[in-house]
Amino acid sequence: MSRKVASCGILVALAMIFSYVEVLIPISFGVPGMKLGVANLVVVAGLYFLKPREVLAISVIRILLMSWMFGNGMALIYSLAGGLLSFLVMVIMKQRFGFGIIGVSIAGGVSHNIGQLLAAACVVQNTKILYYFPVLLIAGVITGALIGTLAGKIPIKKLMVVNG
Amino acid sequence: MDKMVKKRDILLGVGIVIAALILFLVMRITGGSDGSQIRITVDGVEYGVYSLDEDQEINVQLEDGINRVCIYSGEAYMEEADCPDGYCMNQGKISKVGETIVCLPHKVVVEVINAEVSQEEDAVDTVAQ
Repeated sequence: MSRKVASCGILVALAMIFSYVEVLIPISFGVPGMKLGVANLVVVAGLYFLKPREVLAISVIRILLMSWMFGNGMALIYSLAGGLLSFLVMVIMKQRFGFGIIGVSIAGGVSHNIGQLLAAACVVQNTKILYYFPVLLIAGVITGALIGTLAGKIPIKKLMVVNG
Repeated sequence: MDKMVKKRDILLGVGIVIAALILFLVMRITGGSDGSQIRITVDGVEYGVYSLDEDQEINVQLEDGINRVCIYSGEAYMEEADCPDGYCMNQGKISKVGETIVCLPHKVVVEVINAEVSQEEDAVDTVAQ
């Protein structure tokens, strides 16, 4: 148990470092709040050697801590909406439909963007913001494919041994 | 050992991209006409409607800041805003019906509308609520 907590803590720290790098070097796509989402690397890879609820915990804790340190209340709503939706979609894609790590990651990237956009539409009370929908879909596929390819390079079998 | 890239992964990615392109085209075709006015809303409440035909500056006064929307030769853009991220100033000029500039931190939305159509839309929205 304590071993699990420790390894989850390390992974939260890793995800936070990835997020922090993106805070320092933002790659703007000209759309509010959009970024590559390197922290999803931890979530995507985590789905393959941790239990879903552990991955969920890592993702939520990372989002809470990052918004607390660098963001504001609004950023938290967008991040949580995106993070939770993409987690759900990725688990379903992996377990029910048998997609590979790249497919899971693409679905995660796209659904993350959809979640954020829906949250933004609710916050500003205006559906015209859905104008960004096609751009965000394509961006989600690109970032998802990149993250999935990277996650696929991680020697997951070795991590499983360490993790016990 | 699983193959790294499964066929269905590629199909998924390509499928979503194609869907997005179709969506983009549909939006382009339906929303391509020049608008006559812009509507500014703050947190879902209408702040004002302004004609695109006359050059003007609109200062949107908020509790916690200001957004200055500029209309110049039929196009509207966010000239200045004291929001934390400043994305709204990078969103360029809008003039076609349905185009928007969104300032998320201030919950300000600027959208191009067509004078006659907008009244119909409002009526529909009212019924839907």
